Amino acid sequence: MQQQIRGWRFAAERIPRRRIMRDGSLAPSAQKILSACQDLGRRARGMSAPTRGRTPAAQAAKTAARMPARMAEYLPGRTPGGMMGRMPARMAEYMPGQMMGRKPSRMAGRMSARMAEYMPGQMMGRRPSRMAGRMPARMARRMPGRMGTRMPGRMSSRMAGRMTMPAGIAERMPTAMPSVMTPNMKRVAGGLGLLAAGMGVARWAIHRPARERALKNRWIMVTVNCSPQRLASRADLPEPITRLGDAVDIKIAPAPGDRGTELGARLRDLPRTKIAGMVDRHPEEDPRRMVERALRDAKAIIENGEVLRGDWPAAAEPAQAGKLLEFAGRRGGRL
Amino acid sequence: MKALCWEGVNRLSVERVPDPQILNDQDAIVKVTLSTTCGSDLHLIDGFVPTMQAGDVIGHEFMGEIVDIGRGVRRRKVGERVVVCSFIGCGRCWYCTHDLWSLCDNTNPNWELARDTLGFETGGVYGYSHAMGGFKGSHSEYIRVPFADFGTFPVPDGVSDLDALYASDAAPTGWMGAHMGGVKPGDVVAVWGAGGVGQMAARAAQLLGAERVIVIDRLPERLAMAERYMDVETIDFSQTDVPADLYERTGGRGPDVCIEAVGMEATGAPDGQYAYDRVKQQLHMQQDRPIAVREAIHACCKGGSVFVLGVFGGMVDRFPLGMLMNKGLVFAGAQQHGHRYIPMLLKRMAAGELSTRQLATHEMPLDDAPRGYDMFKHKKDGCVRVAFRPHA
Repeated sequence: MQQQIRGWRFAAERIPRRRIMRDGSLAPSAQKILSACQDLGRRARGMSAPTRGRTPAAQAAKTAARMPARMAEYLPGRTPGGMMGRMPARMAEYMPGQMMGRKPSRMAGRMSARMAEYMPGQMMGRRPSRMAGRMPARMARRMPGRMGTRMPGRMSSRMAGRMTMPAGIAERMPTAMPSVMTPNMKRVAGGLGLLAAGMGVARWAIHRPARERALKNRWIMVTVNCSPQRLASRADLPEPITRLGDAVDIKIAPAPGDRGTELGARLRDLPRTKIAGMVDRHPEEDPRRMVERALRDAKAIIENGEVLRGDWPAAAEPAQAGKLLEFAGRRGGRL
Repeated sequence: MKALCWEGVNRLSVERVPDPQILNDQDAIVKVTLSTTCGSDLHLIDGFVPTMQAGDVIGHEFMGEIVDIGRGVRRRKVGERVVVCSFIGCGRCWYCTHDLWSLCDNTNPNWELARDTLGFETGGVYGYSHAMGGFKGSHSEYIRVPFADFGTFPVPDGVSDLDALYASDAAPTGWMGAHMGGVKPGDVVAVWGAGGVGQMAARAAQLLGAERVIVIDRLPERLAMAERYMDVETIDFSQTDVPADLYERTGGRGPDVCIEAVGMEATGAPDGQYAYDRVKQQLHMQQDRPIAVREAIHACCKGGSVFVLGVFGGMVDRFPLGMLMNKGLVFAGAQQHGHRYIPMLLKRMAAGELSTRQLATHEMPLDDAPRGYDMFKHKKDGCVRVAFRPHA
């Protein structure tokens, strides 16, 4: 138990003697610590294939080391390294685990004390010795989880004395390291995500509501600037409306506030068309437009006594651009 | 009669067209004595307003003499010298009775076309495309004026024709910008554009009590005119960063009220906005170049007000909506509700409080109108506005 052991086993080595029961077994809290450390070690071994040059984890750690002060306040998990390099101060206070990559010792060396106070477990990776060596005592005091258990080397004696883990902390210590995912797993997850999205789109395409074949027979409304009493009965309506006869239903209601009277008409029967929407695209053939024209003319007569006529004769011929735009406006919607 | 006709993009010519007729009982026929160019005509000439047709008579800012009236006209008589509001209001719909005259429900006979192309219908306008009613314009010898009881305003004796001319559109539009923009005593007001409307907006802001008025343009002769006639501060936007300059002049706050009087063909932005907007506009990917609107929103003080007087036609891009919202700005715009302001403006002109004749930097007969528009469009010879005399 006294020999120098590097890596995940170090935590187990540091389990204080008082957590060893008389029969030689570990106390439950210590067992949890040991179990977590073993788990960490297994995962670490699974990813420890040697790579040439700087590993991504090492790169992330170096980037993190360049973080300015006040960096970690509200940063969510797994922030990319490049961004981390620009993070503001107070960053680590609420920083969740898994964020920093796997070789953060240089970063930790520059962390402020306040940063580490709330730093959860698993964050710092596997080589905390240099980090711990530069940490102030206050930082280590509150450092939960596995991190504190691995503080070797240059820790001050006071710090090291307090690094033994209280039971409460050990119970709260996370037991997994979700950031550890092999590239293949990522690909599989991405593929599944794409598959799910594709299935969703296909499902929407198949089950979306069919376009209404029948035109919706809405009320066509205008608001006339007169009192409702003036339009008390159908007989009070002007000629453009009465000309429509029984082809339409009429609705008259007072408008809110001082806005006059709402006058509406609705065709009793819509003509059937073979092609849905055709009537929509040819306003001049749309019977609803005729009703609307009648309503607007009626409104003009009630309000002004006459319907304003356009200047005559109109211009000889639309310009080419005007024709196109007019066409676009009519056939394709609005400009 | 003679009239200036739009024959296509950048093509104008003086043609013979049929004389106007009284088509409704409330019509009047006005003999046009003066009619002026307006910056919004350039949008028609440059092809940015749809539903123009070859042969359309343009022009909407004018004054003249009533020569004929329909049997339904009660308040006007033949021989009266009148200025005519460029928008047509019926005077009796809800919008007209609530002083929102340019939104009149009953004066756009082409409301279906307007709805199909613009998405809604405004009131009618003289000489401003078929989506806006298809009415013949005022660059002609005679013009039909619908709802003449409401749309014509007798000119007081002490007011010259050239002053009264700009009571038709520029002066009421500018006044509306200051009034509906909420200018109040002590305010700092910035006006983008030193054309006729911009200068009138600046003067209106002064008359409404603004403590400081700052006019922004790039044309030295227009800025000089604003300084000379209205004693306002000016900024040449081609020489400076306008928002930074405004912040510097206003203690870091920005102007309380920003009035945009430029419109869809704004030019000159320092960071490539102009090129970006221009390209998108030419590719029909957006209709307008809202450079001045963006700048106004950027420069306006927190909790301030931005009012858009310039004419815009459709969609824009890179609009600083977040700044508009987070700054708590009041943002509004309108075509002019001229009927609301013209009588008051004529009184102020008669009292000597408001002078507009300086806007007419050039006068010429209607036969020279294509040349006049060329001068006006390209700002030649210090041109601010050209006034045409159809009967000269």
